[in-house]
Amino acid sequence: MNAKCCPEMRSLISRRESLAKLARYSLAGVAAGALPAWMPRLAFSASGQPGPGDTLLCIFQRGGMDGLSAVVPYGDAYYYNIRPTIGVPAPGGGTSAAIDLDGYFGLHPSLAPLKAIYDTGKLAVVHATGGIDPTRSHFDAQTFMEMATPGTKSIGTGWIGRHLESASWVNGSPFRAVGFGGAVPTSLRGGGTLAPLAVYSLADFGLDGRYDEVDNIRTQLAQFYNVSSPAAILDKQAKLVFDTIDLIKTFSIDNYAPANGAVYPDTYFGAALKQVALLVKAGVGLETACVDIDGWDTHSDEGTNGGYFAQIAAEFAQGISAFYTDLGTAMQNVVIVTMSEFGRCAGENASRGTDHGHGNAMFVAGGGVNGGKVYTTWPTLAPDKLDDVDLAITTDQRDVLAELVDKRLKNSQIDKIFPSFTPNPPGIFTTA
Amino acid sequence: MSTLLPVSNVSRRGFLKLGGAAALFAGWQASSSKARAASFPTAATDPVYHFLNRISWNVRPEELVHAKQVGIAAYLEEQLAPDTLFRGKKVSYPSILDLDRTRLQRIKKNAGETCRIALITGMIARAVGSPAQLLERMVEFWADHFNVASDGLETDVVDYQRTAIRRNALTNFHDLLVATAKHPAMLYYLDNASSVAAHPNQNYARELMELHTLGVNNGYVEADVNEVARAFTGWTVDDSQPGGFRFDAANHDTDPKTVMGTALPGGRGIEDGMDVLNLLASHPNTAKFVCGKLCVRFISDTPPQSIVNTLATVWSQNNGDIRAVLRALFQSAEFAQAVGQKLRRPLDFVIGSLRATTTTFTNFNFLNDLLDHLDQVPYNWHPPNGYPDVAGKWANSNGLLLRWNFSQTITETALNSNNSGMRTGLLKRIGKPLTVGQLVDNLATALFGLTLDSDVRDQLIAFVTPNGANTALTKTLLTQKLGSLAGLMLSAPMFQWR
Repeated sequence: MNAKCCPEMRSLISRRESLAKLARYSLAGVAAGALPAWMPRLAFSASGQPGPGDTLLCIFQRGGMDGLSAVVPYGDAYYYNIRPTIGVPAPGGGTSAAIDLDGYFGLHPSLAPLKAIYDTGKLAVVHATGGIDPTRSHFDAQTFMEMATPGTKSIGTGWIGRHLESASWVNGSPFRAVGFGGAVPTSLRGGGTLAPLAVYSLADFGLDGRYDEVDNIRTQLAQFYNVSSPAAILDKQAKLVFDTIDLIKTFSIDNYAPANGAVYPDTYFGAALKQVALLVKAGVGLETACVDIDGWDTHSDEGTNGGYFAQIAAEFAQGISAFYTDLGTAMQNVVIVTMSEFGRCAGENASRGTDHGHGNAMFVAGGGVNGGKVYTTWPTLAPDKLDDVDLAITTDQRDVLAELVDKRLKNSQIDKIFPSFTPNPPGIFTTA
Repeated sequence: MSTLLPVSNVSRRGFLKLGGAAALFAGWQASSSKARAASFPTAATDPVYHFLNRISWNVRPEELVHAKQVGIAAYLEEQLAPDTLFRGKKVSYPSILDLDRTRLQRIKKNAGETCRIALITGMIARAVGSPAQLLERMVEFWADHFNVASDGLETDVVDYQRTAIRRNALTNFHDLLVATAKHPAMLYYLDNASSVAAHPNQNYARELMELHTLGVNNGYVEADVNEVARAFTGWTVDDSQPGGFRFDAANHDTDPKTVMGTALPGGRGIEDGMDVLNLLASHPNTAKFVCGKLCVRFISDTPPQSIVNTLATVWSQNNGDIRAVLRALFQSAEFAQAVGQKLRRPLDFVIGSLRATTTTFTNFNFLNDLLDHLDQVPYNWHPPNGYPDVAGKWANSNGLLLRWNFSQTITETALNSNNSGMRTGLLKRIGKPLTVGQLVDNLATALFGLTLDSDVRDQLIAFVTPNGANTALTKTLLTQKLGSLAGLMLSAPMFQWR
């Protein structure tokens, strides 16, 4: 965790850490099994997907990623003027230099693992994008972004939750929407019958009680709820609980072996990504997964190569790269999107860091991405082109998400999912 | 005190709609009348037990004794006169909830977060500890019906629940409606505070008719929404006024209006909005709509139309007198026949469990996070339609597992402490059982105020020992089994339904 972040961010992080302390322990696991027959109302498509579209992995970078350090506009005449100590050197400036992407933008060297995916044409960058509300509050900006309703929270639901609730197909799997971190991600709230699985780890989904009574408790509950032939509404839910617990036990989470030599970072972020990969491969009906990575609130000593930004960026890139490698050909039907509540000020501050800003960079990756490109209408960092003191937003983030939902998730209810918004598809995704 | 989340200034601009708040109900199925679990205890089908089970969060044995003595009608009258119920006993809740709006506005540090926490802990504390159970149930009902999310409006909602909701929860609908219409919490939440003649804001006007009174498209057309919005222009917030309401004549649209065929003459002021409220409060469709919601709350997810009609008639004959309607509801045949048909919503279950086990809590974050996972943190529902009240919304596997695990978390603290901050006084209330059978019986009495059916009783005895009801209850056996046994009883179907 970045010790230099602002108090609001600190309390948000410590709240998540206190949730982790309430995590529970699972029983021992056994070898992976076949597709469970009990999966209610779940029909897989020809591609092995639970819905007609991709599986979505949404990675939220909490704290406000500095997009100008992640995807460096080294070709912008103003960049080095306003970032005298933390500006990332242009390509050709040694190992601490940006990795060239397209002759104008370069990738932060710590994000090198993403370059390989970029070069295969399956990863794209969107720059000068984000949530259009001007708030600089972490909490509000995150909520506006997860609800995809800049400036208001009254809708109460998240964009992914609204997508799943409005989808034309049915998926009764308890793994339909999974959030890692303990709290229910706002993005997944649907307002209707969708019940996201929100866990710190899949291993937490189990019965509590005295360790030497838990088996007896389960037996008795199964009898109370007539689990062997459930009829009533709660009996069916009870059976689903036990079947889910049993299924998770077969996952052997601690012994999961990534494929193709993938190496995940040894962090909570890495562990969560590993479990998403596990769920994808287990074919249990995962449609959407939300994973967080904290530590982007680089108010001071952001550094170029040795600073806080480099550390968190390295973990971020290693995680995504490992996931991509691990999934292999399964990435054909997976789409990854990254986002952060806001970017950071165009110019550095007096503490060799950056304060909360506005426009930012996003990454998308997967089989359906027209990658190998930086999508942007670059406003430049000229003083009169900034939004106050920040990189302006020229692509509303919802343009990207709406195209993702439409083309990759195959849900045409865009007006329900992104109310009061008319999207302008940027052509980043191919139609699934 | 637990870690506080700083709350920053939330913009209160507009509120987005997904094809009307009613669309949020699409896809939920009301539970069928066959929803009652097979193992619902016979003792709980007793009319007095059933009555207590519905008007309170759970049945306390001493309350059941009293109710059986005086009968349903007399017990109901006691509950309808809540001020007489306290007899020197105070229910402990955060004192900030009693501060008036002017005092609340003067709090400098962390006002929002303090109020947010107070609203949640206060609601739970009163629901668990107050003898005026029906009053608290009605406060909850009206807080749902006239929903205001506390996010960004915490101090206003503290005053709102005390003055607008609580003060009028058992009086009459008209007064309640006017109190909510004039309260800063509602004026901000649905944007009427900034509605002026030059730019009327339709948000409150629409929800007033769709959610608070008539029901969606039930007696009004789109043009009426605009006319009602015009009628309420100038109804705004002024912190220098006690209560915070001011009618700003300068911003009121004084042209003539027509609302649902009724002419509102030009050249008037606050009378325009008051006439609209009077019209809506006295409209027969309002009686039907609100009585329908009362029946869903207290009878079943799909209440018979007969009782809705009966209550609507009582309402109209008594000018929206809430007590009159409740008397008719709880003494109706339809109510008596609805045993076991309401699924406890998550908050019902959490409060019922705390009450049944006489559990206190000191770790606010634990309870807040649990309720957040269960999707029912008090005063935290963002759209204006209030928390859903049908089984289809709340019956899911994740929620059920959370209930089961919460049960064990509470009851474990009978003999050990854990990091939940809960502490149950259950051990003091089960007497000194000498056998396993007595333990099970005493728990059933302490938790639920009833005697179990023999099949369930036998199963629970078998959970403790294979050697039958008369097995001696040794200290070792009690230590081993008390927590899990009591937790199982809270987890059983019989406590999910009422």
